[in-house]
This record gives sequence, structure tokens and C-alpha cells, in this order.
Amino acid sequence: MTVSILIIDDEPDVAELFRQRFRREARQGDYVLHFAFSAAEALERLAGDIEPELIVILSDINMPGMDGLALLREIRARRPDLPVMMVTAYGDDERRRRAAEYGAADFVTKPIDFDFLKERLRELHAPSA
Amino acid sequence: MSQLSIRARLIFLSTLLLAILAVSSALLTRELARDSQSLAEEATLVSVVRSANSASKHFGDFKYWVIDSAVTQLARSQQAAAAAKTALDSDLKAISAVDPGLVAAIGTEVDTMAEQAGQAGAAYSSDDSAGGNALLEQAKSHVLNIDGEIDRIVDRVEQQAVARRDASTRQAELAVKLSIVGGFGALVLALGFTALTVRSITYPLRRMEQSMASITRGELDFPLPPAGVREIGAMTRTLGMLRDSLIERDRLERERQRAEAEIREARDAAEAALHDLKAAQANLIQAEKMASLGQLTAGIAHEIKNPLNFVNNFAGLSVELLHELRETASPALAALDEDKRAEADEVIETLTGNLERIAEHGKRADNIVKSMLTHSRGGSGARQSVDVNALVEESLNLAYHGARAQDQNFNVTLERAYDKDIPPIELVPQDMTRVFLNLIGNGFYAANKRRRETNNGAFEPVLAVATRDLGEAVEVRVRDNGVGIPAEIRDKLFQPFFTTKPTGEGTGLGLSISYDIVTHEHGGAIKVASEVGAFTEFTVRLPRRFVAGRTPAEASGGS
Repeated sequence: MTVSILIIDDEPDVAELFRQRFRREARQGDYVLHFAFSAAEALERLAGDIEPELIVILSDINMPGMDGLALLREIRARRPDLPVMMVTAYGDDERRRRAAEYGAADFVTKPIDFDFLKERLRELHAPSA
Repeated sequence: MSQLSIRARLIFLSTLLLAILAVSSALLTRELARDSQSLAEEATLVSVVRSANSASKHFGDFKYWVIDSAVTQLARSQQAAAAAKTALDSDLKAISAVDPGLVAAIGTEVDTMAEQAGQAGAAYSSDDSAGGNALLEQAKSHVLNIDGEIDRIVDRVEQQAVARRDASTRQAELAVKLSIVGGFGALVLALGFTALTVRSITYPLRRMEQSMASITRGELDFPLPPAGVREIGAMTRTLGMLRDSLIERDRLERERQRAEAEIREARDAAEAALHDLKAAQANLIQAEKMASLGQLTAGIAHEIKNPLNFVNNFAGLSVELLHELRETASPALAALDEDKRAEADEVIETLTGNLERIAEHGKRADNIVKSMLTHSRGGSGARQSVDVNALVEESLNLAYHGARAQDQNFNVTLERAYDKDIPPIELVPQDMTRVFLNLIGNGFYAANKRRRETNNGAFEPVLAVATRDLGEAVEVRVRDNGVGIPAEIRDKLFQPFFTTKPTGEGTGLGLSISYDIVTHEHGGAIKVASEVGAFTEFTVRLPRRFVAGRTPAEASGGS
């Protein structure tokens, strides 16, 4: 079963990076990657339908406008069932603590270790054989 | 007496001396008068004695000539008898004063004898020789009496003269003795009074002189001499006033000096406080700079992390993509001729190698950024089980490269003595790294300072780290062979803002924060041993099992 992942980051290259990193999984039909380049856009996307089923959101923290932590609270409020993983260059205690407090499923620091990330994703949703 | 003036004393003394002189003169004069009187008396007696003897002789002549004239009837004999009688009368007159009765009796008897002799002579003339003889015999009997009486008088007069002479001699001896004793007494008296008077004047003067000498020497607490002599009394009072004014002046001087000292002290204290404040301000400014620099570093590190993320990931991806390309294109590549295929393979190999190198150096950069972040912002603050040796080694490398980056000339020999058997220990790695960075950094600084101060380049800076398992605790030693720490500032080392480095090079917070981390956060101990010009060794002791002291402090700016 193919599932969707929503990735939110203000840097356009992040989208390219994820596409390349997940090209095999995308080809195999495990995941469909969706991208939003701001918190506002992400909320907009969430308001609409995302097909196939959205199983996880990966969000940057430092973004212009609404930041990742505020977005996290917003998403948790709207979709308590939807896990949100925070991806950030800032691995400090304060952000970790607040992310955990707001209900982040995980906290991944940049540079992203994609093997680790894929492992975490598999734990969240076993991909179809 | 004690109040008499010097003039009165001198007048008194002179008067006294004159009196002594007068009395002794009078005494001697009287003695002399007495002597001269007795001399006169003696002279009189001598003439009386001579007269008496003369009377005896003249009587002898007289009786001869009287008897002769009576017998011979010669005119010449009669004349001689008359002359002798005259001389005898004169002699008797001269001595009559001795015994007038006896002299008168002698005179009468002489007359009687002369008369009888005359009668005898008349008898003889008348040839009555018997009557003449009888008369002559009578006259001769008188002669015997007279001789005896004259002899008596002579004896008496001689006796008187001898007595008088003896008395005179005694008197003269007495006078000599008296004059000697009197003169000596007068001399002693005069000397005594003179000495007393002189002393009564000079003694207070000497006391005065001593007092004045005391004042000259600056000794003011002497007793004033008693106001003896009137003039000296006035001087004493004047001296007393002088002394009192000097004492007062001294007191004022001392007060002035004390006030000055107080002012000086206050000024020094104020200056010291100002100096401390300035130093503290400089350190605060430096700390603020460092803190903002730390923030800046953290910000920069994060901003670098993002592009690094892409570099690393895209490099890794590209390696994968190249593999895929090779697999996908393998049939096509196989179709190529030998040379072309080898060339294509070589290009792919080189590309893969380049990308791997990009990824590798990207990871290296990432590690640097991570370290920067760790030490500029502090880490999680969480306790972790850590290999102390690895932590110390990491700190050593970081500090070494940091020091090299700051100073091109910096060099140091690193010595490591790790106890390989130390089991992992629970601690806050970021904070302990900070402690070790601090201690190692200080060691570098001290060793390098000594190298700079030792001009002949022979000095080799050495920094040694050592770990040791103590069972219940772990010990880490950081030792440098640098300038050392003077004993007097050793107890200030861990005070905040205490630094020996020039302003701008140290915040004075490093050791204070380290102390806090080791003792409060980890329940350990940090000690220093040092010898100036030889070494400094910091020993950190961390208990294996931490007894909760307090929550780890929020990490503040770097140091």
C-alpha cells in the first residue's frame, strides 16, 4: 500500500534531496512525497485531501513566518493521530524539549541520516511487500 | 632660702666670707696683741733682773769701799763708796716694783750699815779700835742680811722672769695653734659656703639644661625641674610653657598625620575599588563579547549545517546514483570496445572517488560544526555514561587545534597516560569537556608563556594528561611545565573574574565555571598544585556514583 509523506522546509533543495533519496521507494510505490515550503502552505495542504493516505509529516523548525514548532502544535491540534517528526539543524535541548512537549514523534538533526529516517518510517508504517 | 635670687645668694656669700675673714683677723690680732704685751712684760722683767744683779754687784762694791773707808779713812775709798751707794740706790729703785717692802728694808739696812761703818770709821779715827771693831762687826752683820735679801730678790725676779718666759712661750704656741685652726676653719667654712651657694645656683641650672636638652631631642614627657632660684623659677615656667606648646604642637602634628593617613587610606581603598571595578567591568565586557561571540558562533554553525546537509547528502546520493548508472548502463558499456569501456569505467571510478571525498570532508566539517555548537551553547545537560579517556582525548585535540588556529607559533608536546581500565562513568559530557578544555587551554597558555619568556628557545612546552581509576572515583590530571602560579594567588584562582591574563585574553570565568561544574554538578573536587617557574597541575576527581547535588546549570557563554 502506498502512503504519503508531507515534508515541510523553506529550502527548495530539501525537496530535491528527498526525491532523490526516496526515488527507489517512490519507484517501488512505497511512498508518495509531498512538499510544502512554508507552514502556511502545509496547513493549506492538510486542509485539502492528500492522496494516498498521509502517514507522517516531516517539518523543519526554522522557517520564515510560522515556525516548525508552532506548526507542530497546529497540526497536533487538528490531526492528533498524525505523527510529526521534527527535522532541524538546531539540535539543542530547548528545541528538543519543546518539540517533545508539543508531541513530536521524533527529532532528527541535520545533516539528515536517511538510513535512520527510513528506519523510523518503517516503524511507523510497514511498507507493502 | 630656696626662693632667694642668685644676686641675693652671691651677696650673702660675699658677706659671709668677709665676716669669716674679719672674725679670723680679729682673733689673730688679739692673739698678736697679747703676745706683744707679754713680750713687753718680759723685757721689763729682764731689765729688773739686770738691775737686781747690778744691785748685788754694786752692794758688793759698796760694802768693800764702806768697810775699806772705815778702816783706811781714805777719801778715795769714801768717794768710791759714795759712787757705789748711788749706783746701788739707782738699782734698788729700779727693782723696788718687785717687792717694795723688801727693797725699802734693804735700803734701811744699807743706810744702817753705812752709818755703823761710818761710826766704826770714827771710832778708828779716835783710836777706839775696840769700838770700831765692834761697830764694824755690827755693820758686817747687816751686810750678811743685805746680801741674803738681795739674793732673795734676785732669785724672785729670776723666778718671775722664767715664769713669764714660760707663759709667753705657751701663749705663743697657743696663738700659733689657734691661728692654724682658725685659718683652716675659716677656709673650710668659706669653701663650704661657696660650694653650697654655687651648687644652689648650678643645680637648678643643670636641671634646666637637661630639660632643654630633652626638648631639643624631642622628648617632652620630662618632669619640670622644681622652681628653686627665683630667676631659674622664671626660666622653668617659661620652659614649661615652651614644653606645653611643643606637646600641643606634637599632638596637632600627630592628629594631622593621622588624618592624612586616614585620607590616604580611604583614597587608596577608593582607588583599589575603582581599579577592581574597572577590571571587573573589562572582564564583564569581555565576557559579554565572548557570550555574543558564542551566540554568533552557534548561529554561524547552524547556518553552515544546512548547506553541509546538502553537500553531504547529495554527495552520498551521487555515489549511489553512479552505482545505479553503472548497473543500468552495463549492457551498453559492455557493447563498447575495450578502450572506450576502460575509459568510461575510469571516469566513473574517479567520479565516485571525488564524491566520496566530498562526503568525507563534509562529514569532517560537520564534526567541527558539532564541536563548535557543543562548546558554544552547551549540550543537552544530561548525564551520560561516558568513557573519560575518550572525553579527555577529544578535549585535548580540540584545545590543541584551537590553540594552533589562534597562534601559528604555538607548539607543545602532548603526553598522555590513560588508564585503559577505567569503566564508563556517569557525567555531563559537554560540561566536563568544557572543564577539560579550560584546564588544557590554561596549561597551553602557561607553557607557551614560559616559552616566550625563555628567550633561548631551549624550553619545550609540555602538557601531560593522565587518568587513573581510584575505584570509587576517577582522577584526571592536567599538568603543564609553564610559568606556575604564585602561592599568594592560588586561593583566588576559582573566584569569578579572577584572571592573570591581559584584558581580552581571559574572562576570569573559566576556572570558576570549571569549579562549579566539577564540585556542584558532579560532586567532585578540583585541586591545584604549582611551583613558580616549574609546573602547574590541576587534579580533577570525579566520583563514580554521583550523589545528586543540584540540577545541572544551564550552560552559559563559552569561556
